[in-house]
Amino acid sequence: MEFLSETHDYNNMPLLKKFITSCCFTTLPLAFCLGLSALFPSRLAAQSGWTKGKKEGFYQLSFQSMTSNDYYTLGGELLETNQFVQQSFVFYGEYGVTDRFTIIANLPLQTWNGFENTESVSGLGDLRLEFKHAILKKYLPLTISVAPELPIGTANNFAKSTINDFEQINLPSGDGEFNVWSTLASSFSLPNAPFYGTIFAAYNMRTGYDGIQFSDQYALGAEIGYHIAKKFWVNARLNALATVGGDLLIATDFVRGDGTEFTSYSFGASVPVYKQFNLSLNYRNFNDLIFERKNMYSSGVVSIGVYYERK
Amino acid sequence: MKKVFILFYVAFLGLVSCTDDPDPVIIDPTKPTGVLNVMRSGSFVDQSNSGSVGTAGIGTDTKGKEFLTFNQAFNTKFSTGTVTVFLSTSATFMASPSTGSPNLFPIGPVRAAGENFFAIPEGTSTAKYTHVILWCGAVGIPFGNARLQ
Repeated sequence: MEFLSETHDYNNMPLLKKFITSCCFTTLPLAFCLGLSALFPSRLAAQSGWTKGKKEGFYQLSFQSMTSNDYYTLGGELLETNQFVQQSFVFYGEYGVTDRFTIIANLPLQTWNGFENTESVSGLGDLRLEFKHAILKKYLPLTISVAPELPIGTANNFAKSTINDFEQINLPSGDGEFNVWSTLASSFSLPNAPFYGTIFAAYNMRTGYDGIQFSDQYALGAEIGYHIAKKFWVNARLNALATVGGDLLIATDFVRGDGTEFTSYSFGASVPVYKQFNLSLNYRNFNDLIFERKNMYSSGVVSIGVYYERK
Repeated sequence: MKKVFILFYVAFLGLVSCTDDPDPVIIDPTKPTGVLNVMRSGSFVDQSNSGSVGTAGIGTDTKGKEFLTFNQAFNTKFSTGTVTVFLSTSATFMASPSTGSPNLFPIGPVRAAGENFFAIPEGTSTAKYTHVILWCGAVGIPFGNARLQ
């Protein structure tokens, strides 16, 4: 919080300090999505230009759910399919090793996938570890992070049809590949109002699975947040994901997110419930504003979580 | 006398072992016997970016048994899940469970790229079916279709 004490007057300090420390909640709804199946294109990380203070922590359990019939092909064509349902139970944690270095972990403890005419299959997701370093902290908070994603999730999980016993579909909860997100993020806060903003750019270096090389991806995002009545945090966010090297004509493996592109927007809110425990809610949906939706199921995604902050 | 018997026995074995037995004929009911005379065929049109390519054809073998065949160039997306082959009266998959889906005839799953043969059950008339459809049943989307002409 060094930059606050130097850039803001003391009368505002308690509010602003709380504001900044609470900003991490605003990063969470994206983190909810990290380990979901590639059928759900949500592999953007929590991002901000701040790091945690030394020994500070943030730990959350969340549950999210989506249902969709709208599948966008690699060419951007909308197909109405059988109803797809995905739910996930996710752990997310941040820990400040130093004032400038934070370790972040995201692990979908269980993800359930299924179509209306198949059984539901579930499994562990991939573990994402993020190592975040504050390059600048005072006037323009700026962080760089490297986040390897370890393929410990269930890379193949076949759901059998409930109609024809010979039919099945692969609905993995992990993509089976090792990949690394590299992110540059910057944030700001207003000196006299509990308002903040964040922008980020990220690059996902993907490897492959089962002999298939996946295409790299890049992501852009922006977020704003505001503290209402010193009690409720609300935020709005816009994110976009695209494939490096242009369009893929044929899916190398569509259940693993190869060729996925989208623009998403979301709205979130957080409220304290007991001491340092807070309740967070988030709604996310997708459109074609920056990048057209490709190789993904599109629908509203609702998530609810409880988080604990250690200061 | 004993030597005579032994000589006779050895001579008998020699005659038996020299018999030129023909190789057994194994009939695979899933593949055509002899030449498959393809009467109608067409190329697959890719759908849902599944990469479906190749040619489908319907014909009869030398014993008059009817088969649906895919050529060596056939391919589609197998890694997702089961791809089921249907004969259809149009390029569109029109299931109607309540009426027994009269516009569709299920052939079965296709599990590999390249040449495939599917035996048509005897007594089945394929005359009214104009298309072959590759269908991903779990998702409910087409992977491709070929017009038979």
